[in-house]
Amino acid sequence: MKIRILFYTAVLFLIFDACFSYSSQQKSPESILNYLPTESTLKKWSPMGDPQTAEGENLFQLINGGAEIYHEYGFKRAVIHSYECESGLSLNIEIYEMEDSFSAYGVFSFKTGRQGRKVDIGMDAILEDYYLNFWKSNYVVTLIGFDTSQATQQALKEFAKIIEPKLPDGGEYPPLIHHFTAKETEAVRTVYMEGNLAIFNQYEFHTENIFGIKKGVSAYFPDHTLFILEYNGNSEARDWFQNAWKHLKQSEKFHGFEGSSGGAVFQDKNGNYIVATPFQKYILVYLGKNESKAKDSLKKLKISIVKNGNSHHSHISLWGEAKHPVPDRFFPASFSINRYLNTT
Amino acid sequence: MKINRRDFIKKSASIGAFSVFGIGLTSRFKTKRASIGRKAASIDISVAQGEDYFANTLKAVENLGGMEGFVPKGSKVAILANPQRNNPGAFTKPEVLQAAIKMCQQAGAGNITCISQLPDQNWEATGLKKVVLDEGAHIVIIDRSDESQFKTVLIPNGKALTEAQIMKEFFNYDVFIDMPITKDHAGNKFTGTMKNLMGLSSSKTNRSFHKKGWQTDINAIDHLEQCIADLNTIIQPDLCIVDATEFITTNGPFGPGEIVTPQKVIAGTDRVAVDSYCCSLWGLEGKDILQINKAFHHGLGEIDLNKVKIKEVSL
Repeated sequence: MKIRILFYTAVLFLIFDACFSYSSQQKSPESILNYLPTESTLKKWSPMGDPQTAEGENLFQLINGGAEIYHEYGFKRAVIHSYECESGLSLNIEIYEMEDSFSAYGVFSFKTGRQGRKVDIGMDAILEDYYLNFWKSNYVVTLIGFDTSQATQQALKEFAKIIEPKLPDGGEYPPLIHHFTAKETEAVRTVYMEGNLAIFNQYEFHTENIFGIKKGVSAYFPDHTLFILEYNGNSEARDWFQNAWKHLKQSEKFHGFEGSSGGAVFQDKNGNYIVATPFQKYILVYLGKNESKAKDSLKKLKISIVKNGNSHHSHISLWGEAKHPVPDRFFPASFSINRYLNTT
Repeated sequence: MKINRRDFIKKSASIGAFSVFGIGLTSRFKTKRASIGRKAASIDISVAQGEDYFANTLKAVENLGGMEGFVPKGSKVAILANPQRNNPGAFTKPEVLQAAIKMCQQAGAGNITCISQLPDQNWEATGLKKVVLDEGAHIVIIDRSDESQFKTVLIPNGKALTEAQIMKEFFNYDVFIDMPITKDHAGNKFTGTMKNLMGLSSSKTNRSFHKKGWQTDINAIDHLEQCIADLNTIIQPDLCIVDATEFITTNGPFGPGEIVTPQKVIAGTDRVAVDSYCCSLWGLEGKDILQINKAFHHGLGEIDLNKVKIKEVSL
């Protein structure tokens, strides 16, 4: 009797497992080619040649040096294919599968231009004058036309709408982005970064990863830029700040240094003021021509961090560095970082 | 000044190149170029601007003394264009390549070949294949996954790159014309004449530019730039013709990205100066681009545009 029960239990388990496996396969097709439009959905369009694919390291074979930034965010696989229309229009489709939705959003934000307009496709979509980027789940999709005509722009949107439902549902924004989505601190554009190449393309602090960046955001405002870099803890943030400060002071690109390892003010050759400070588990950086804006901008960012931070951080003063100064060795008597960071 | 074989061997040995190359490539390049008797160049960088990119190319080279100064009669010419992808602003324009081929033919070249490691599909899609074939030139595509197609060349003065695998095909030509499109590159902000030479080296070599020891290196920007400068110490193009007509200034090298349209074609032989000029087209300075700076420190050319003669014409 017991053996019979065990046998039926095993059979039921196998049937359930098989059904479950089938369901998973349906949601996550084995081939990335499945996300491309099928000929039956294309009407007057037809594919040109064979699609080109790449997995992991082989992305270098497909897009050469362009691969490095994808690898920095965490790349899995990609497909590229071209299509042409009877009317003579043509376009390229690129689908990149990233490691997770944070990295997909990161690449999307990195690739998105400043001039585009939002389109309602996927988690976010931006239509530029000849190309369209959108992201969903852990996928980033780029569609490229060859002119800026209305017909091309329409085609880009139509193709995006064919691809989007094929992709897995969902998508999660990196939490750091939320510091720049509230009304008080809303940025014109944000770029989520997961490494040195990403920040190097936003602003060239240094060619080496002097900030030890693993997670960060550069947020663009009409007249300045804010950077927030996140670390595992307060001391790690402070250590990386010291490291960055050491390298920046040696750089010929900057001058007018004030401060030390606890906070710094300096200028670049374009007349931008750079105000940088560690705050809790973050490094915050202001970059802009208007020195007086730094104080207000960093204050708002700190308020956002405290508001959105973990509960165990809620007791920390908004002006942590000012009320609980770092040791004197970090702040010489002449140092005036507080003029940027204090409310008074 | 003509360099005889003995002088060449002495010079090669002094920089350690002789033991690397053998006599073939380097002697051929140095002696041929010297023997062509190109008029002493009154200008270092020639720029032609206008809506007709074919005409711009002709004028840019003409103002540099004409293609005859670079291509001896009957010579075999290798052209390295960039057919990376047909995304706008990411590849050398067909009109620019077509004009260069025509000029080589008029100069009496015996054979004109575009050498490449990128697939036929790219040449087709960019429209470059059509102009090459229309003009009676050739395309030779090297299978980059086949290491037997490459030969190892030592880089005696390399600081980061001590050797590179260069396509064997490259060594079969008398004249080398470097024809990149200048554009953004996410890895190092800029690509021009010097970075284009990565089109001659193997995937294995190029990946080592981007990654040290095959491992992701988050500090690799400086390494990449040094490798590019190092590679340029062993390969000297006879002529550089740069497409700066329409190119991406973000999301390079593949695009799509923001496009600027200076509508310029630039010709010159000083790669450092030419690249310095090109990066200035979108607000950068040569000294801020590491590969240019490092090439300058290798003694490959002049980085200060105030010290070079630039002739610009509008058509």
